[in-house]
Amino acid sequence: MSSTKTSDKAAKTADNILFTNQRVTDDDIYRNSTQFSAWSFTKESLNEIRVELANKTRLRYQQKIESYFMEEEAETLNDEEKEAIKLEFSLGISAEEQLQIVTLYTQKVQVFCTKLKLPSEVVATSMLFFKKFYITNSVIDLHPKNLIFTCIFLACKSENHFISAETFAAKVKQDKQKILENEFRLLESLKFSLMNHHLFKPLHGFYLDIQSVLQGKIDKNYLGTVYEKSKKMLINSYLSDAFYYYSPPHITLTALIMEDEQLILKYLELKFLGFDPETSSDSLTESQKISKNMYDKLMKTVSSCKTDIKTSFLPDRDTAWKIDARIHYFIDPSAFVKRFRAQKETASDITEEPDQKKQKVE
Amino acid sequence: MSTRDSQASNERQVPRNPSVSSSSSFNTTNNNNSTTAANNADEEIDGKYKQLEKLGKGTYATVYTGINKKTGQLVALKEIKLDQEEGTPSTAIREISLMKELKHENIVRLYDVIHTEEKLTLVFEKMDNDLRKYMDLVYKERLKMQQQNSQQVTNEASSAVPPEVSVLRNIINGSEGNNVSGETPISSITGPPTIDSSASNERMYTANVSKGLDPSLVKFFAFQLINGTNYCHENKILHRDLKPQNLLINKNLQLKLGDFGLARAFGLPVSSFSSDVVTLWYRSIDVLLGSKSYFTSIDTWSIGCIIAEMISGVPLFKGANEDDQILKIFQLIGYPRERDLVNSGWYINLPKYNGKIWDFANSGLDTIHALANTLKLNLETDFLTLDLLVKLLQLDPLRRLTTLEALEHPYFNDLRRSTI
Amino acid sequence: MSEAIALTENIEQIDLTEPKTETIKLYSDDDSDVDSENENDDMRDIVCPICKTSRYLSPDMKFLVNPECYHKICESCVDRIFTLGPTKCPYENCNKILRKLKFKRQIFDNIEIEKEIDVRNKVYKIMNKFLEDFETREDYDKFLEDREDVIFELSNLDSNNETQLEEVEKKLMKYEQMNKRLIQENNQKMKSQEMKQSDMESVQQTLQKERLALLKKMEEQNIEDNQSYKQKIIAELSKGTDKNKIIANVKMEIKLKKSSQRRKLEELNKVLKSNSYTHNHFNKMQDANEEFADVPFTPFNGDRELHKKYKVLEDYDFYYDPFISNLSKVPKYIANGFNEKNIYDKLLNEAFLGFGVFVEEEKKQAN
Repeated sequence: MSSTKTSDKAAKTADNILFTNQRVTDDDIYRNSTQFSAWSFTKESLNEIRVELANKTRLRYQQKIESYFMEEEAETLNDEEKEAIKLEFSLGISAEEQLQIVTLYTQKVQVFCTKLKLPSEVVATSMLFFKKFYITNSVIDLHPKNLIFTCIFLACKSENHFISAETFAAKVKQDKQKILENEFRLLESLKFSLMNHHLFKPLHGFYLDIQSVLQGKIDKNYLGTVYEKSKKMLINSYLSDAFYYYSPPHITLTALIMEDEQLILKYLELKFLGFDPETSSDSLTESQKISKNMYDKLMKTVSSCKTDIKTSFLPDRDTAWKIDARIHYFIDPSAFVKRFRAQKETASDITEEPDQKKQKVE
Repeated sequence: MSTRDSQASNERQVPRNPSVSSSSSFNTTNNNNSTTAANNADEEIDGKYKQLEKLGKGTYATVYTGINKKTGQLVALKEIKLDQEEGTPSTAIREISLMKELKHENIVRLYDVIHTEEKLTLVFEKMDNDLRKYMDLVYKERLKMQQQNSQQVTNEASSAVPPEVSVLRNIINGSEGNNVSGETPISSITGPPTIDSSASNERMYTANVSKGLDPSLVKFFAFQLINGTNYCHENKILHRDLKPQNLLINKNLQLKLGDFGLARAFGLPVSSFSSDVVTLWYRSIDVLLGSKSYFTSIDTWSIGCIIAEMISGVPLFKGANEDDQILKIFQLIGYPRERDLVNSGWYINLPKYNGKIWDFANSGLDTIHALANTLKLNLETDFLTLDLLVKLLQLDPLRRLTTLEALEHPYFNDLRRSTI
Repeated sequence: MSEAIALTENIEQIDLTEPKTETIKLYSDDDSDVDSENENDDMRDIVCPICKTSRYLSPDMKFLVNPECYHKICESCVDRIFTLGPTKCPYENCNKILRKLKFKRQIFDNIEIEKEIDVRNKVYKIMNKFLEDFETREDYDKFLEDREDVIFELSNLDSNNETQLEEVEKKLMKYEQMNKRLIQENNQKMKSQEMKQSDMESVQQTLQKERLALLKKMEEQNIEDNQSYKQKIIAELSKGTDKNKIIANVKMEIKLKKSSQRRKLEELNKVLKSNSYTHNHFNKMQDANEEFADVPFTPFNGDRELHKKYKVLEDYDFYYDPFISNLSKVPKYIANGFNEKNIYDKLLNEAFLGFGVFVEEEKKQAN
């Protein structure tokens, strides 16, 4: 019939319909999305991918620098300089460093989007595109600053927020050709799966469901402010890795809980338990025990999601600055030599950097 | 699945009401076939696929048959020219991103996307025919049989097989091209040369041959069409361009939705939707009257039109332009009624609504009779078919059945029993 | 397969008919299964008006009628005349087109009664509203009155009042068209009520049986016990214990035992009769029905989950959502079918889309 997992499953379910209670749920619809099938990970597996990318890139560049730069420029370099070069480039850009710098630039994507007054969905999609690209691409191969506008432009197209390339380029004061240049590479890295189940609709849904579950027990204006604050938090959560590890409802609930824990817990208790979660399990009926288990599992997920949202990979200014400089050296090793020589001359102040680089990071 | 397949294909063809629709003009615009084989055939794409014959050319893409060099699997290659000005066209972006999410037995699968120099190639599952072409072929086959029978040529093989099946057999044998490209299909058959198929003869045969599909096949296709569309809607995607040309059929009589170039995800209403979606004949009345944002109801209208077309063989509303289209719809379905005004008043809010010039004589109470007459259906035995159609072709978008409701309609009861 | 053939057969039949049958029939006669015992013995001397075969000579002969005209025709004639497809009733001056499928055995001697019962069944299936479908008792009464009117008219108007009859038929059809959904629901309701009742009866029967068996068992136990007491008394007596004391002891024992037994019986009775038992039982039955019988037809072949994690409030005005309520006031949205409830449903659906997906756990399992 069809080779997809879901339809096999569906066929199987149809066969067993009379004997099992297995049914295709909305959860299965989510499982079928590319967001789950292609862009959801465990922490270990995502880390593995990132480390592998960092290693491969490091080896590739080491070779490149040794064979080309060291040989070509062999006469002009003295031994001390050669040692320094070896030392500098042997480390590569680690997975953590890449994550830090990508997060920094993702924030820049967000800032630009806000400046352009784009809808939340487009902002979130741009940020995701950007982050996803650097799961499989090194910041050395394509500097993040060159991808910002490509991401935003593609996100506009895929979210049906139509804006012509000309207008867009003029608005962001960039060269149109440069924006379009990397578009296909981006598409490819995204595995052509561009659809995202964003967090704003679930938030809206919970806003409604909380009203109906806590009928008469909640001030609607207050709930409105909780909604607004949570929405801001959700946009910021796109900076974290939460999107890879949790389903949209879980992230959304986490943000709501972070905003007003008492209120949301009350809602969840009433919705899923109907009894005090502190009740000892001995006095619960079987079905209550099942609900309690599910509830506990949800709470565990939410608290781990909370940690992930709070974990910031944003580097401080100094670190960012250093990493960015090192990326720059990979792209242009002669800059490193120049700086090394300059450093030797002044000899005293090592952290001195050329002015132009400083500006780039800020 | 298999039980349904055999049910449909083993069906014995029975001549339907001896009648023919007044319009004899036949849509042949889609008869792109092997005769127009591309000059650049044999082109290779990324070393993975080999381009074969050209299948058709659309506004933003050209479609070829292709073959996967490794597996030998046939595929459809949709080539999109990259725009130097805008990068990847947003239609392509839309199609790719939506097709990636939709994996369903009634939706054409997107296997691969390949980027070469100046073009983007989407690799799709290869289907054998689109619904329009298939209906044409069945009709021609039926004509052929009719003539053979009247000439009393005892060619058992072809006369015992219903045209629906014999068309498929031709597809399998690869002789499809012969049937389509033959200028006069009747003369191409192997009959005694002594009998001359004169023009008058031909007309006589034509008059007795139904252009529609066998009722059980209509049901089977209709079910798959609604099923696929329902899956889109469940994933919050509107197709927005459902028409027979975009419904693809393979030799297992599977029907799949194709061409998602106009599709888009929907959520809250967005008013920036253009009003020019959906080919005129399948465009819903609210869109025709100028509605700019819409929901799933525009797809269900198209489904209604397509089912009616499968029954009769000709498009239900064949308007020459937008105004004519609106008029044709009102003439059959009836003009909006007072009752609609009381309930929702949907139509008076539409920019093109003009109650003054419209004649309210036909109040739409007898839609079911009108449909029965147009489609030559029997009020009693085809009641369920008519009931489904009436409910899909409601003027008020809120009253139109959702795809899920349509699947639950008793019309599909017998299919249901065979699956559960 | 067979259904498909039946379908095409039907079509074949239509094609053979004259232009278009005017009479519209909206119901199917599936309750025509009558035992042959019901055949009236007094009718032995009756002759089939078509083939003139006498009942007397061929006692196996059965008469059938078609609810179109209720003209009596023998079974073999029906076979002979109508097998090839619908055709005119063979009675002179009767122009009704009859179908073989619709022929049935006559239950009541009086054809008028037979006709009325048929009409009543047919109308009841369409005009099947319950009291709870009405706002006031008067409305319901009015509905019952209307229904009786329709039945009366349909069963008493004959071919002489063709136009009048047609009007009533049309009225009925319009009613059906307008209430399609409710009709289906109510028919379902009726069916499940019937089922429930018969189930209730059978459960009560088994309970009763169980109780009787218990009583019988207790009686037997009693007899057995009495015998053992006697033996006990004899045994004690033979030991030379005081006679009166023994008897008092045994009497006491019996009394205690009996009262405990009675208590047991009462308890059992209570359990057996208690509502909770039957109630639970039926809850289960209903669940089973819901799970298996009424599976909605959905993209995954009827295996979609029936219970959503959310419920859209019926009174959706309750939701405080300025954004949506403002949208619902914009004419262009109203015009193309904007519906607040649908939007709320979509949003709530998104809130729980993937709620049960614990990503890390599932991805771990997949690896």
